[in-house]
Amino acid sequence: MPEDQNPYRWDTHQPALEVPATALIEAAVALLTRGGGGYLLGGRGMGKSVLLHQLHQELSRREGTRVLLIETLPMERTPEAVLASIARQVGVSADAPLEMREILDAAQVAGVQQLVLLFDELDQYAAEGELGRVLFNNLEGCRKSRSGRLGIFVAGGLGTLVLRDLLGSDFLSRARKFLMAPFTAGELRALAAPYSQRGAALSDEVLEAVMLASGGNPALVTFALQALWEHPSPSPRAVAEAFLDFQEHHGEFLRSFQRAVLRSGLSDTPQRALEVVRAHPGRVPMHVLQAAVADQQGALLVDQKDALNLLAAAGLIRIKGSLQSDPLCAWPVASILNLPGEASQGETLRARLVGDLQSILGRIHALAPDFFRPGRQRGEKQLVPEASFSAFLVLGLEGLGWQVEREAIHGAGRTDLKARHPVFPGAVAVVEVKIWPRNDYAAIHEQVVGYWSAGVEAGAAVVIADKPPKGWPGVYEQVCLQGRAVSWTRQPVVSSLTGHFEAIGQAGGAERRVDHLLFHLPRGD
Amino acid sequence: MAVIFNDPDPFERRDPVQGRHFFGRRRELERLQAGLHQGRWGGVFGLRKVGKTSLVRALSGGESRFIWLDIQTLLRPTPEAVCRALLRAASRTLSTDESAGLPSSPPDDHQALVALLAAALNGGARLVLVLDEVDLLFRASGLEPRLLALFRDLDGLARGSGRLSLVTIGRDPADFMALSRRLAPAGTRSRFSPLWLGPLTKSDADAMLAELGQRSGLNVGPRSLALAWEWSGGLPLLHRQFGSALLEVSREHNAAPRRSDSYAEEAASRYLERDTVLETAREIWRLLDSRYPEAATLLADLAAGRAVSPDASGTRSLRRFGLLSPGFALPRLLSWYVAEVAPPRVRAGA
Repeated sequence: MPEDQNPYRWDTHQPALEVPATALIEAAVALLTRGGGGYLLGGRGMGKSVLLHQLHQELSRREGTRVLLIETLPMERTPEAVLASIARQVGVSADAPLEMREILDAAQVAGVQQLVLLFDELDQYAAEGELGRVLFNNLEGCRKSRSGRLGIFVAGGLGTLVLRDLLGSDFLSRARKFLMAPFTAGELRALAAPYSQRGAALSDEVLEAVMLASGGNPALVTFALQALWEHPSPSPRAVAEAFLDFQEHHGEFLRSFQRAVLRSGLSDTPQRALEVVRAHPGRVPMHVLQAAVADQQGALLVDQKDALNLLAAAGLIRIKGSLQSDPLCAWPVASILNLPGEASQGETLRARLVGDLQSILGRIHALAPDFFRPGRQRGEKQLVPEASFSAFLVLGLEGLGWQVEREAIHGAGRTDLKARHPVFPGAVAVVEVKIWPRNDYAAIHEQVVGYWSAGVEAGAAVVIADKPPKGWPGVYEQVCLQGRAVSWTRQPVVSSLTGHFEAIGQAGGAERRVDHLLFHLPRGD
Repeated sequence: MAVIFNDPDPFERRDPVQGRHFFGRRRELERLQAGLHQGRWGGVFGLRKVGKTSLVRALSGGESRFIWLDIQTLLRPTPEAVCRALLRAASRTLSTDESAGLPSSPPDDHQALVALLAAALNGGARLVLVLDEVDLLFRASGLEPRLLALFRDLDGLARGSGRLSLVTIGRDPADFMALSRRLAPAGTRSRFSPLWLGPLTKSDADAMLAELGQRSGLNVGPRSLALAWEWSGGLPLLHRQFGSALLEVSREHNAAPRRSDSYAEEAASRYLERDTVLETAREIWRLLDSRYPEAATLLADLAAGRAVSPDASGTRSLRRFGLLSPGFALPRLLSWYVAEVAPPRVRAGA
């Protein structure tokens, strides 16, 4: 590869750069070489296919072991066609269709002591109903009766539960479960090593922004690193811009992600469980979770443990400790996959802006632990920089139907956000984000008013504090709004909002009403 | 000093076991063995992973020659496929001498199989045909006439020689019972005798944990044995999983010598986190809910602590599957799963 050629490819199953899931691969190899069966549960983009390729590579090094990676269903969707394909790949031919045990016997004669079958896209088999059940039950029968000579490993999402529970798979009944997990910060850093190698390491802020936007979803992480490679000066705002492009050009990925886990039509339990975790981040009462899934809809009945595992394997929630804990220690993961989906219905641009900002801030509150980084002192934590919050707000607003101006998020000395909404053509909203008490927080009102150019109809100041002073609204009013005409507005809809002021400023001889949203973000861990 | 074998976790077994991994079941083995000697047809039925295949494997090794066919290894269990696979299995098991005198080109696999078995029986062999996952033969639309003809021929060989037995393994014997009644000559009783396989006896269950513990350097004490029994009800795979949880916790404590009773309670909570345990409970519940709804209702009532009549419908199924003790107690695992984890829509309807 030429020295500066982009080493990242987010849309391939065999990337040039990989972060091997060493522990998972070792466990799977040990299982399969004993002739065991396993299944890998994961959401879209979580790296299942990449892991299957890694497994294939690892197992293929073993003498006497033949490994087949079956990436998709054959055109002819019958179990016989799948077996015929396996026979061909193993180099076994016969006049009549062969049973799997006959293929195994013939392969043994040809020197194959052990055959390992790796199946990707299990959901495709589950969608075919009988095909999936018959095929995998047949393979399972062979695996059990040819002790040690056949290993089977499959990867899928919700379809795995369909195959197991609706269709009654003997294979999945005995198979060992493996769960995919999002990249950790350390794994992201390892994947970003080529930046250091070319002398331009990504800053902590950029890596944090990548993590916040991607949630550690390997495909999204790789997408961000691929996009940033071409960028002259990667920044959190460049990360936001990359993901705006992603939302614009790869909507199908996001939709298929949702379909695979949350909107499959098979079961609404994962969605319900996710809503509960979002509503009770860090301390999820089990009775609330049970009640939420009590009247579940769909053909597939999913218990809450399965739902939690699915969400974790899709990178949508993070679980700490035992699944038996009550309350359960679980949080949603910050990511474009976990942004709020219901837009405000405000009748003015300003009402809609405030409503949508409150909705996004409410979600950030649920995602709180992801917005903290280690502090200077051991055990201490501090909020990520303003730019990271701003980048997340950009993505959140875009997800709610706003069009955020790309220029605004790049310009030094300009507002953090400048956005339009298609319902209000020609009107512009500006938003400034500050962390209390960092940088020039005290001048936030003036800054918003200063950005008030032609077409601007709404302005908001979002001020975030992890340890606000006692009586914060009063202190804030004194420090930031002294001399302004200030009024409390209606009770904030998001409980984490400590205050919501409307403050009036003057610009160009006209009154400018700025909404100040005071947002308390506790550490939450 | 404990002998520690090179097995990281001797408790952890999901597939059928044999040899030194097989424990207990003396009465069941004796009963099956006696049936085989009388040339009867036996069947072992019960829940998935309760040890049916392991039990029949434990029968082999005597003077009888076992010819195995797992119906599940047939993509489509058509009469042709069954005959072909049985012929293949029989050819592999029987020696060339035992196949001597066979017609050189039998008209089909059915005839070839019958001829091969007849030749072996005439030579004095004692044969046992094992059909695993036999329910699959009846899955689509009952038994095909050509399969009925095959069983009729096998029955004829069995009656004529007194040395051909058949052992079937499956979930439910009803279909095979009906088949064997059709095969029985008028006025005679069916030669088929099903055995419902349930949990291990308490003493076998204790002995299994103690022995496996010894193999891994773990001293499994009385408190641990009692808790394991309480949670698993003696269902072998679930019982082993308790041992595995004990081993896992003991390794974390890193205490030597490892005496399990000091962390038995901790192991009990860890037990509920194990995938195999949860999957097994889930599977039992789904089976009952979909195929034995009265048993599911009874299970839900018992799990909820509601009073039930000893004659409640569903009792028979729960007992047959070994899920209900004579004292009307459930394995605690099942009570927990149904009361706290099972999809509530099912519970509400129960």
